[in-house]
Amino acid sequence: MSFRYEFRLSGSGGQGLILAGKILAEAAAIYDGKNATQSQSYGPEARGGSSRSEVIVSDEEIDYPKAVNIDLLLCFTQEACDKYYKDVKDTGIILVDSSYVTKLPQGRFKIYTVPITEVAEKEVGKALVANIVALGIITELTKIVSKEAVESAILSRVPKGTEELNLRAFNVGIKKAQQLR
Amino acid sequence: MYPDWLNYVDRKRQRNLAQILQCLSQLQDKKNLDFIVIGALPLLMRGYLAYKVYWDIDLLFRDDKGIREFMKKPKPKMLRIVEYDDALMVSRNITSFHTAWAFNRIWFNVDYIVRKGFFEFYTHNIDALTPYTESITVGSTSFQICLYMAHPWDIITEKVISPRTARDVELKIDTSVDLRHIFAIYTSEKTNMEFWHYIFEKTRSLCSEHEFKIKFLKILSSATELGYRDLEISPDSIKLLRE
Repeated sequence: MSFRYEFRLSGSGGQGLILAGKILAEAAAIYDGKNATQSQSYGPEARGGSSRSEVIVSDEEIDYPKAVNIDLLLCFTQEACDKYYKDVKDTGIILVDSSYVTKLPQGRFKIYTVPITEVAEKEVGKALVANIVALGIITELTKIVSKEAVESAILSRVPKGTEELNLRAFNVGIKKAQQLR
Repeated sequence: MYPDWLNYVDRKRQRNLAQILQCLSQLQDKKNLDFIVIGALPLLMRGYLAYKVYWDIDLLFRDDKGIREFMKKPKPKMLRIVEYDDALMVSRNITSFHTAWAFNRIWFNVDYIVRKGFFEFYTHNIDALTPYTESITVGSTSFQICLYMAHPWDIITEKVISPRTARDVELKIDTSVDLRHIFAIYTSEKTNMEFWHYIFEKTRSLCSEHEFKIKFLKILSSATELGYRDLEISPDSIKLLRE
């Protein structure tokens, strides 16, 4: 049976969510051989305003590239969480960065709270890799895209000198997700 | 012909990209240029970038009206366009509109952009700008491409002085696409004096040559910190930037 899985990564500009979306789509399509679309939209100000990236992964060609029924919502700001939680399926997942999101939505979906930015800062040494930590958590929680594919996609996006740092961030995210299960 | 750069496009998407570029070639008004391709794609197609990612197509228009007119332009019946935004996203200096194009069910992001003053920056020397012209064969089908794209030297000039690049350097964002492009173009052109003369001349329409040089120097001196430890910085280029 065919599947279609919809991710929405939301927060504010400068948090690297568009890049995270691209990496996820590239991992699925280029390295896992699935089909993927990735879209992005910014609020009025690209840096600091709202930012949203959607990724659809399917084992078949994708007939409609817009997300309509979210399977996984990542929220890096309270505003994004308040705005988008209603689009999540009953069987869906909401992952929030509890460094920024404190008021959790009510619903039948499953909510995971992880202080993603704090983890990136304390365990990896760089808050800016919070997006990569989040990718690790998402990869492990959903198992839609393989770990190896995401690693390859990360490596194709970063310079040689920071490969180790970014892979460490990704693996910290994987471990965090394993602890959540 | 099968150009080298197509190897850096996901195999499943090559035909669709060629078909969309052919469509854009037909849509582009060559006599009264209505848009120009900017961003990473011209760098890929001109051989500056050599890695496989999901490439987007960025179209730069003269103004918001230009985007609206382009949206109304008749397009091939087989082409499907899905609009990601409900309306033009307008901010102080940038207007954008995000779409996805497909001739079948393989989607390419095509973003329509207006940046105050930059259409003129990229097209003022249009007579000297040669369109990318190629017949691309994918499988058994050939696609005719004739498309005005931003000159890579203009792209680096813009990126060096962009506030976004300054921020990426300041925050040491190793995943910065702009910095990656700057280092790629620099690597290819650093010993080419024609390049240096061109960008010093061209930057004058955006900022002073002195300011440009300072910014470029800062970017180069941050390369190692940003993860580009393999970047070979030519002493001659440093000398030029310090003059």
